[in-house]
Amino acid sequence: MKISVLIPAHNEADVLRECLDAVLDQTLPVVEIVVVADSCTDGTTEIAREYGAVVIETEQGGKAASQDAGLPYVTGDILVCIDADTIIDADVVEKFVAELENGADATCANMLPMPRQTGFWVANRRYAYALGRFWWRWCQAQVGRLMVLSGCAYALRTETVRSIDGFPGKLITCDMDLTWSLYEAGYKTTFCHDALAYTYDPETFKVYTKQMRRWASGFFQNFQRHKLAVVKSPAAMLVVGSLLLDLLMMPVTYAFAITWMIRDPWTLKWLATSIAIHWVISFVIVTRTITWRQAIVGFPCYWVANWWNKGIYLWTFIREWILGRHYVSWTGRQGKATVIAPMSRPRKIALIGVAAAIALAGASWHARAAEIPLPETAILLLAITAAAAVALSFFCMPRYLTLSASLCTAGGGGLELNQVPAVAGSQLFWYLALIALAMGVVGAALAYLGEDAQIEHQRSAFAGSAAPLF
Amino acid sequence: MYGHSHSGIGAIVLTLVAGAKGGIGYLVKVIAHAQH
Repeated sequence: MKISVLIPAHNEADVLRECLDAVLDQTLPVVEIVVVADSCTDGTTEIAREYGAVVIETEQGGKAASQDAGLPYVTGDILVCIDADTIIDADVVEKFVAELENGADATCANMLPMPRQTGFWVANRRYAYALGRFWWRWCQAQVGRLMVLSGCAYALRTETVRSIDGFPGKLITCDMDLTWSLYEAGYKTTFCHDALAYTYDPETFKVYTKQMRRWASGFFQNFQRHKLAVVKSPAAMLVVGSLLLDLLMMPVTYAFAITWMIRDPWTLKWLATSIAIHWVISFVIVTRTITWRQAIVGFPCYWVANWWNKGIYLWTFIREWILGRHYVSWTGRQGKATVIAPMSRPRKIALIGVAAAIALAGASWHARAAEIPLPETAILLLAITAAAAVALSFFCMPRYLTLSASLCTAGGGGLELNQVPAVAGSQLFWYLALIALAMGVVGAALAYLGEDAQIEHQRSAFAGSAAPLF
Repeated sequence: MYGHSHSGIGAIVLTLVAGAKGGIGYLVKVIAHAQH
């Protein structure tokens, strides 16, 4: 059995040596290393050649595309895919091969941050990965639906990836796309929790947040792309559905809990109890992987970072699925700028329509309840519509239009809030308010429907970089 | 998240189902081993 290692790399000269050293140090011999140097301007190519790797120089601009560029050069039966900023334990390839020989079509390692890395965000990740190893990912593996093959170190038969036309690269989290594409093709994955891979994790808030935003966006994009396969599979529904349920229930649960606590601060004891239980259970689990000291330091970091993660996921849910604005840029360790595509025209029309419908329903309810005359209802209706349109417009409207519409809305809303009787004697105020509000609505609507230069520029810049999802 | 962790009713359900499945699988293995 011939084992090949495929490593996509983009300016990884600083870390590639330790990655290749680990590959050459395996207990099962690796007969071929293929390094795809994607748009490299440092010494990546030279280092790879020093180690005897087959080097393919390319300008793909993405991991999956780089892997695809390297795939024709792979001659092994087993393909081990490793990130260039990752080092694997000496027995990882051996364990991968054992899993594949045991019936798995693809398998992956458990990852951990590089041992020498420190800091708040790394301590959080170390704890999270250690917890996932014997809890979340273990659970997913038990029900036969690993959410994602760890992108930094996984293995599959070369013919398997060729049978699905190579590495899927249309979404920004290509490892998850590959995993879910394998499920769609009927392949089986396993989680090789004894195989450990160490990777460079984000050390700063900025880079961590960028990575989490990309991961969260990738999750929702993958669900969108593979939704039929997910819905058809009870195991997938359990793994993905449980995550979505928890995410969507979170605002409701916490709103309820906060209200409860404001009424009776003593209920904080339940929060403290739940944290303590969570800490004890997770502590027992993580100390099978990391040291006691790392666990003690890691728990508070993990607990705080988890709130931030949940917030990112919730907002990403709204942005990706409701606003239809997709994350399309690669923002890995090298910290490239985050790019989010603008909303499509049909989506804008639909959202304004929904906002108007909600406003109409709200105004009707208000008018009926307060028994107020029609002009006042009209003002209320316009105010709510404009407010909703302006609120939505913040996501893609030029700033000056947003400001103008906001001012109009504020004026109209202010008159409405003062319950028109104060100006009831003056019809002029009513007309001014109506005109202002109408301007707000029309301005916001036009800004949405018009394709201004900025949006057009963004759209052309992203043409071809990400497939349309809707 | 992203396959690492989540918390709530869904997480509890997933853990219980996976635990039950893992437990049954383990028992099957033990019984099969004993029969050999």
